[in-house]
Amino acid sequence: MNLLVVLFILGFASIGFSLTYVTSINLRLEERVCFGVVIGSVMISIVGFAVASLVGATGLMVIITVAFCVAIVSPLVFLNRKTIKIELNSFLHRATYSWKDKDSPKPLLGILLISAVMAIRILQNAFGKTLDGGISAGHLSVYGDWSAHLSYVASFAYADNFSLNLPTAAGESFAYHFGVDWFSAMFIPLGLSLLGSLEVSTAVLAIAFPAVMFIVCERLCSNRAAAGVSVGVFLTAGGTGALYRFFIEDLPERGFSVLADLPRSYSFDGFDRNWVDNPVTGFLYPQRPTLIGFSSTLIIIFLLWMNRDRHNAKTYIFAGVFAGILPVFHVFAFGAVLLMGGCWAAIYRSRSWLFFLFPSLCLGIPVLLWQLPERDGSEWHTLWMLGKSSWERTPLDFLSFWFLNTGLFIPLALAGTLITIKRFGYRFLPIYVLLIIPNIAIWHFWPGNNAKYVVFFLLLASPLVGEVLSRLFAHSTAAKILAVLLVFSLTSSGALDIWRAFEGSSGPYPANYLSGEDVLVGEWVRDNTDQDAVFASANTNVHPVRALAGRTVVLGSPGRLNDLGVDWYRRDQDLRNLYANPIEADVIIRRYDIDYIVVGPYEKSMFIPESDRNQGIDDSYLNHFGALVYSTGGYWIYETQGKNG
Amino acid sequence: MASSRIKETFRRHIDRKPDGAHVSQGAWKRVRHLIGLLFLLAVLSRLSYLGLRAFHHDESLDAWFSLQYLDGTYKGYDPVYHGPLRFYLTAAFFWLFGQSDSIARLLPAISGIAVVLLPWVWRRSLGTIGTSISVALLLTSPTMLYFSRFGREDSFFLALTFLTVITLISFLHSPRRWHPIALLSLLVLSLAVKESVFLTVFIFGSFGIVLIAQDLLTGTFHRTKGSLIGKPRYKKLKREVRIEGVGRRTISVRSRVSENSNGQSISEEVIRRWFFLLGVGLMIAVFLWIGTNPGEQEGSPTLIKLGVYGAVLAFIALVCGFIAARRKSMFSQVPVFRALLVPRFGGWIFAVVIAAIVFVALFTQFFQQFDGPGVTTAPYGAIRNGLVSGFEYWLGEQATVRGDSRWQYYLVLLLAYEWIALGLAFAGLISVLRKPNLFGQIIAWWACASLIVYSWAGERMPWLLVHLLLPIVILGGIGAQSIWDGIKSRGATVCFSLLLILGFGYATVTSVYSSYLRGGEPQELFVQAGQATPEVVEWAEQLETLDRISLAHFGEHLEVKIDSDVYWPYGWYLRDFHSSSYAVIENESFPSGADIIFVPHWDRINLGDEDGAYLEIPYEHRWWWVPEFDTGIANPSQFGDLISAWADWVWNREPWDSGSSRCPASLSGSVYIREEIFALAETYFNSPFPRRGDKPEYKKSCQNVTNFLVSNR
Repeated sequence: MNLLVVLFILGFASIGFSLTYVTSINLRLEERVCFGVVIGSVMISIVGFAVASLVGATGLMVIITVAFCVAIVSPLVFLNRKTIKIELNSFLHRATYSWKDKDSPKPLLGILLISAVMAIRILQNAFGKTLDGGISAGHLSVYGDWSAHLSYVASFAYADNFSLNLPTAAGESFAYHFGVDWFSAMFIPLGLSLLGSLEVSTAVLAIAFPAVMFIVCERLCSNRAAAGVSVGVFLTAGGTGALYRFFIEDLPERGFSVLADLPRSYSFDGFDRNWVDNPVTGFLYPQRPTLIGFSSTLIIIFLLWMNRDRHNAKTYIFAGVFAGILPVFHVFAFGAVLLMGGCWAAIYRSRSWLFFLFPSLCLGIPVLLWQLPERDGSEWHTLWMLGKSSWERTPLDFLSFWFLNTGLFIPLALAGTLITIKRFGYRFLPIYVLLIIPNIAIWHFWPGNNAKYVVFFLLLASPLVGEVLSRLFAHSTAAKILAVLLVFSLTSSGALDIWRAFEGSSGPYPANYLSGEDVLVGEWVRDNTDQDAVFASANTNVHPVRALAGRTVVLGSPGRLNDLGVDWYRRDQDLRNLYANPIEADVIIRRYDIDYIVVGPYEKSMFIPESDRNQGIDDSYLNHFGALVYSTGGYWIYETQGKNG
Repeated sequence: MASSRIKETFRRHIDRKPDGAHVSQGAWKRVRHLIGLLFLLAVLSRLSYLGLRAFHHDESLDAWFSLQYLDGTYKGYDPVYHGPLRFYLTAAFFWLFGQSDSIARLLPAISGIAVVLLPWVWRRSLGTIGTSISVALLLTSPTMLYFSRFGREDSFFLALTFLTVITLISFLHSPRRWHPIALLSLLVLSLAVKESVFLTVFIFGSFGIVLIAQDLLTGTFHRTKGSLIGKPRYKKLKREVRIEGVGRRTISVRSRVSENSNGQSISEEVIRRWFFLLGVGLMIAVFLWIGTNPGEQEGSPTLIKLGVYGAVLAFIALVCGFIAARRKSMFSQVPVFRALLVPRFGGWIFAVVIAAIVFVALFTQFFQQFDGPGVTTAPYGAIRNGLVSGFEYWLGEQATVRGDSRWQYYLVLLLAYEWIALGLAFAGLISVLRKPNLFGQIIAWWACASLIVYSWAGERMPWLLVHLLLPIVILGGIGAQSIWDGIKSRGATVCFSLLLILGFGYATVTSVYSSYLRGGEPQELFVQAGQATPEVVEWAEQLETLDRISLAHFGEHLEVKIDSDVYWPYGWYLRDFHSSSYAVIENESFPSGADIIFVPHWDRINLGDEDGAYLEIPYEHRWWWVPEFDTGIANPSQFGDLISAWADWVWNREPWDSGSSRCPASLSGSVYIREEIFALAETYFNSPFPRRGDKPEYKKSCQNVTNFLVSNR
């Protein structure tokens, strides 16, 4: 990480910090800084995208963006300079308080320190080097989801994909909440590598999230302990599903040394009925939009909560605009915020809520409509239960499934709803909609995606659970013991998974991700082909043309395209025909405007029969693809001259 | 109650009222803001672009041993490579942040930041101006900046030494029970970083004896009746001082005067002054006796002579003790003894036990490895190695002359880079001698003794300069405060301000030049013979890519052989390389099967049958400059030339040849590359191999010196 990157981070955090003064909510300095990281990253991404559309993803773009944002927020800083000074002095003064004091910033700083160590270590494990000069993946989230995110980030950074074409399916619109990937791409002109940009941008937002959650929970809960417990139970959630494997199989078999090489995920095992993953290892890191989505949801709900009696229009407008931008960053967060905000507006029936609803709907709905896939993949069902075992779909199975996936979280949330009814009224009832939806609908092509609703339920219900547990802790000895047991049951599986990612050497990771030859090919493609060139290549999980050069391909990984509603099957068949029958490739080349065709190890293994593969590639056979422009021992790239030919 | 009163009386007795107490809150607030700003600049200057400069040989070894510890293959403390603590810490950084050149230098950088900030602890003694100037000097010092960004142990050791001295002064000023624990533990931590701790112990040990002697003598002049500790009298003096917001005022201050039972009085300042001069004078004398260059004193009983110095000081202390006993002084009320008694016997035992546990933990890799590495320099078990081998090795090293052989080496470097600090320190020394107090005396002793001891010690290296510079800078802070307090006219204020602007301007420009713009180039006197050229980094980077290419095209990794003489820092740079190996290559022995071979110029290979199969590429491995900066003048008329050469170096960084071809030089060599690899590389890179990097070009006398840039191949 170089100086420019540090300055950039400080820059957008300062911009976000300044913007918190628009909210008209009284915040402490450290709270503004934590919120500022999230708000600043959103602001800089939006402005940056607009600027990059004009000048490209360059260093100049970053300078203009930061300068423009600074110019916007400068009046805010000037107008609030006295407040800033008072808040700074207050912070310095409060920093001397005991950590037990309710105004001491030390607990928040402690959370920041712990999350920094955790995030840095986990992300430091994300990518490694292999002996052949290639890249290894440190955990499943990198191996899986980050393959797509690499393509998205690279498409912005190296292919100026500002007309928003889906880089993993030529000709398709980029109907995806790409905001955080664009945010990562902004680091590349500052000197970070592609992999480094993902790591650093993730680290910044991942470090801020627990602190943001603590601040919000502190205001929602009755005390700091409850806030701390809320953060803990959410971050280490993971149900009880595979815990028995740890305590009955792994620990007795290998003793405590198993902690140095945990053999499995204890929160997620799709074949073993565990579909709701740990929020950190299953959502925050792999599903990058949650980096902004989780924090933004909490900040907006915080603003609405703090404004409940004041009905300040400025606060509503800020929250509304922020919410309206969210579909660009995390569409589920937009849904969650709209659900809560809409219900609260209905409860209050105050016109001032229009200041929130109007901008959020006006800004958010068009983006949402643009993101709707052309293919309708939604369907209705009853009782969401997944797993290799055949569920009988009886109420008992249903309860078992949810117990495996969330442990006692839901009963505790219900208890929390009851005991906080005086404080919250009915305001927190809408969160249960997030549990109902997955049990009645599949709106995202694949039922596994329903876990994304559940994780938002866990996020928003955490303060309720924290409240229950903190009250138990403050009660009798028996209640304290019960609280300890409950915390243990809620946090063990997630904590083990986080430890597994943190420790970094648990099998099968680090796993080979891209070979040294892949890296060479990726670099060559990045440096020697047009930014808008279309490639035909294998639709494997990862491919250097997509992941390292950001070039558009005919077809990326089918599973992820299915998630986006792209008709991947026809493309897959076309690719198979292309490689199997090069003599008749012309039709397919024209169909997708293919500029280059890659023949490498992935293509051979997927599309070329094993008998032909071993004989090597016949030049006369492949010359139908066009002119050979690049070759190494295992790769050949042909230029079809598709555009002109 | 009585005890606390005694302590309070003692506290007042041991030192005069701190200067800072006279200054307004507003002034301190401004200083606090300034220090905050300087701290931010320190963070920025120490941490930014840490990986910019190519690794020095020693840096690469430190990083390598840290990696070894991380991998569980570190064999334990070997004094050749100094203490293990920084390997543990750097390994922790590698574990958390990953392995890179910047992270390998992170510990020195963080230590460097701490060193810049630490004078704040002494703000009450240094005063507003003194504190600000000390921090600013440490921030802008070219030496401090360069070696805070240099992956050896010196910056970390310096921070520990600073903490040790802070604890020591705090202990002598207002002793607490935890002080011995902190002091002894800090000494053990320092020992686990570098053997230079022996010098620290010598410097402050000798001062301790002087302090005992002077306190005993001072005690004899105190009245023993009517007060437990002998109430000192104060004589009124008129001194002109500057008061914040008011301007200059002549006010009365009081100077402590001791008086014995016979009514004879003597200023305590006089005792402090003469004991200080006596101690330093004796130290200079003993080192002149040993010889300024121990390497030429083979067989001389250095330890005995040093023992004689200690014995003389101890004898003086005994005489003072005898006088005190005769005068019936209460020994328990002598300040230094009083401080030693505060923790009580149990406290000292506890401190020793804690320090011992820390020692064992650090030298046994946290109780994991009780065996030593089994090498000649560390032949014992881990604990005994820590106790004995370090000292034995360090002592042995003093008989060799490593680095520069001239005793005035550090003085010249200080004049070249740190003249502003040196000038202010001189003023500080005068100030301390005029008005000695405990703080000033310790700092002045630390500065003078460090200069003497390091100039005497056999191994003179540029990175050791920081150990002298730190006390000089603090003394400079005292000097700046005293000058500021003594200024009486506006003109003098302007002159002093201009001098500071000039000095800090020079330091800043030089710092930026030597650490960022032209960092690691041989015209800088910080650059020692182990400094790799940028070419090494380029080679390392290209080898990684070339290996990928080789694997893709030929299905085999590159086989790289690196001769032992040029192996470092490749050992660090190629840590992830599949097949690079350390080799001992002689002129005639061709390492068959190797694709790329690195050799120094004296081991150029006779290719024989392989002629035509390999291409030879000229190569510069390390570079340095050892100017004859203080010799080579045959008659006084040549003095002007020397001054002119220096001026040209200061202004243009233009090195000079003083007549014996001592221009910047390099360890040149050759890289042999198999033909087909070279041909393959040409298809991938516009410039297949480093074209000898960005080398500095010299315009004057060094332009045509043949051992640099035009290698002797």
